[in-house]
Amino acid sequence: MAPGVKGQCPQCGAPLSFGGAHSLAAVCSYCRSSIARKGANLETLGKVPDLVATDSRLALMSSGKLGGKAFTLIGHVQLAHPGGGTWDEWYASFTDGTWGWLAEAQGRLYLTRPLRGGAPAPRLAAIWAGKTFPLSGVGSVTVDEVNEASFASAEGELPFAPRTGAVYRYADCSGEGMAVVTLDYGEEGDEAQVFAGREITYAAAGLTARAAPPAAGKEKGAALACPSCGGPLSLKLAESESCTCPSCHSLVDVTKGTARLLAALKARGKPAIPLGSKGTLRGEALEVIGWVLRSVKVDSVTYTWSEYLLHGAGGYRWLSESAGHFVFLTPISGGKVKEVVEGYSAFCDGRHFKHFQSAAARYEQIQGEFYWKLDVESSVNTHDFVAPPYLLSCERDAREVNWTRGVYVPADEVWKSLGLSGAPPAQRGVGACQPNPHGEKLGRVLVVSGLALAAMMVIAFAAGARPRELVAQVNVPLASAPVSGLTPVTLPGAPAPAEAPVSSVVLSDPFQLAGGPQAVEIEAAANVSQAWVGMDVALINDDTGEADQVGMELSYYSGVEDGESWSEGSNVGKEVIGGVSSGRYVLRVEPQIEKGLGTIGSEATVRVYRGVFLVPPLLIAMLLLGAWPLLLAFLSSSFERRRWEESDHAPSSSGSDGDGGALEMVSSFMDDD
Amino acid sequence: MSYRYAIYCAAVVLLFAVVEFRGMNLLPSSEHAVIPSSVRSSPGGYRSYHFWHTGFHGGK
Repeated sequence: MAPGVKGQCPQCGAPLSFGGAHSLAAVCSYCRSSIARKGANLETLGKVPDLVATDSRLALMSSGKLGGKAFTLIGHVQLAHPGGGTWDEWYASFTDGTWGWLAEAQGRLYLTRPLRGGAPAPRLAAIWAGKTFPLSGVGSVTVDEVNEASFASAEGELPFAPRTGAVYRYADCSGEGMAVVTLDYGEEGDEAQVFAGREITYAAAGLTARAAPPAAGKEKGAALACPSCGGPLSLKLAESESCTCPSCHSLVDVTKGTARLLAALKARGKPAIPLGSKGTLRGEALEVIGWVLRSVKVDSVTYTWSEYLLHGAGGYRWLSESAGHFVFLTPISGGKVKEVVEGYSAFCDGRHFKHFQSAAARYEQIQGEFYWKLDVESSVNTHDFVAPPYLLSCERDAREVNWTRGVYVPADEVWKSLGLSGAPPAQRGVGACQPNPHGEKLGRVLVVSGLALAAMMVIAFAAGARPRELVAQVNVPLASAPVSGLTPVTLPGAPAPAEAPVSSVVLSDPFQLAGGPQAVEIEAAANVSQAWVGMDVALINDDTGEADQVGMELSYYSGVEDGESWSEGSNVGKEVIGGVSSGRYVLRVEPQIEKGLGTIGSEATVRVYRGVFLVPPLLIAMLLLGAWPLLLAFLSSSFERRRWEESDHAPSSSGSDGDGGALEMVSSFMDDD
Repeated sequence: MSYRYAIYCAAVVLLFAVVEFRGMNLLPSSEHAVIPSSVRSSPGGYRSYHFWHTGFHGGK
């Protein structure tokens, strides 16, 4: 029988169509017989079970267009997952004679086509979930799942001969971008086939997707009764595989159109977000359909968190809540995650994620419905990686690796988006991927302080470029200077002597100081060895009588002690007098000496300079500029320390959550964003 | 952009410019005094006027 030729069902005589060039079998729409095409003959393979109710949004003979090529869905197969649940694959026949599979799973759509000219699939025994390997014609791919699927049902034409009860081995892989690969190992003894393609959208395929059929779900729920209490099980989605009974709270398996008791759950907690809550979160219209309270045990301490399962047009989403911190998570293919180093890091969407925590997670409480068969006794290994505000989560068992990518969502936004009443759960500590508010501020503050520092440097350069000019010099004879200890010293509060010793006082000639107000530097120098010279130097405005006096010491001592030579002091001393106005000035110098066994030159020289650059204001200004960034850096560091205290990589020294509390208040003063 | 911090930085830079160009010593070590006009007008007044002393007591 040639392609496109119609025939009759050998069982019931109903018309049969073999429109696809690659069609090898067809299911009679009247008697549900599976008919194989053998040359010009038709052979009955057996009866095919009725189709299972799913949330498929496609229909037989739907048509679309991909890459400029039109196609028609001429066949449909349903495969059962060993963990429960059935998914749909549609046999698409393209007008150019090629074909492919359109697979629907959890609200997502994938197109794969036979890979021609590529390398053969690796041996099934040589791959495992999480393995990354190069595949010729595709590139690097990561195995997301290695599993078996059993034939459940079919309709229309098929590119293979179906057999009720057949079990097909497969490995689902993902690669760069939206690339997906299915390694189809078929039944025992079959030759492996490689199908490669990508995740697409219904709209991109030109398919008019039906809305998720709520009627199917209602019918399914209405037809099922709780095996424990007999109460009705109301499912929102036909593809849900397990649910809890709203009456007795039993966990029920609803995978095969019948209700089977999975577990009698004892605890019945109350989720902070009620099931059935609807709203638009981060641009997606979603409904909360399930809630699980999960736990991990670390060092004999049990930590719990909530996970809400949400469903919308884009498929399933998760909303995780831990200590009042919410993360909105979207499933992603394993191929998007690169360079995974266990317990260290991962790379996804151009971001480097640091490993945060790994643990074996268990279910503590369950409510609602779920697209997989929940096993309350099982635990799954979870690995979280963070790049605030983003989080990458991996859940892994022997057969499957599931990745989700999340983003931190403020609790208020969750409450507002879902139209919830009351207040969200109180926040404790720092969330794993909570954005660091101080870190964000610090970046902006560093930009501002950098600009300010640059401006300050320009000013400092201009100030420093002023010429240093000698405006006065006086030579001070030291031979007649009073010897220390004989000089009257006025102590604070003590009566001043009637007359100071005048013999050693030296006065300069009057000199003019222009360009004020300004800072002037007094520099004193004397040849001193193993001796000391002290000088009280007064700069006197001869016009106003305003005088500024500084004390200067010149001393130099040296020696050898325990074989080590030492020296201290200097022959030059400098002092700065600030804010000196223009005018006529006189320099008054009153020296005293202590000679002892040392030597002192016959005279000292005292000079007055203008055009002095003041270093202290620069240092103080830099300190003032740097104080805020330093405070933010401290707060940011404290925030990060509190974040990582909850991780597998906790800092060795732990502190309290109150660290930096007072500084946080100070920080809020500048927080005007 | 942190508006308040930008204003704060601008104030610090402005203050620095004023202090630097007016030669204001923020860490003064000098003692200020006003000498009466009678001292200034008398010969040798500066020489004989009792100034504040630093209280040096010599070296080692």
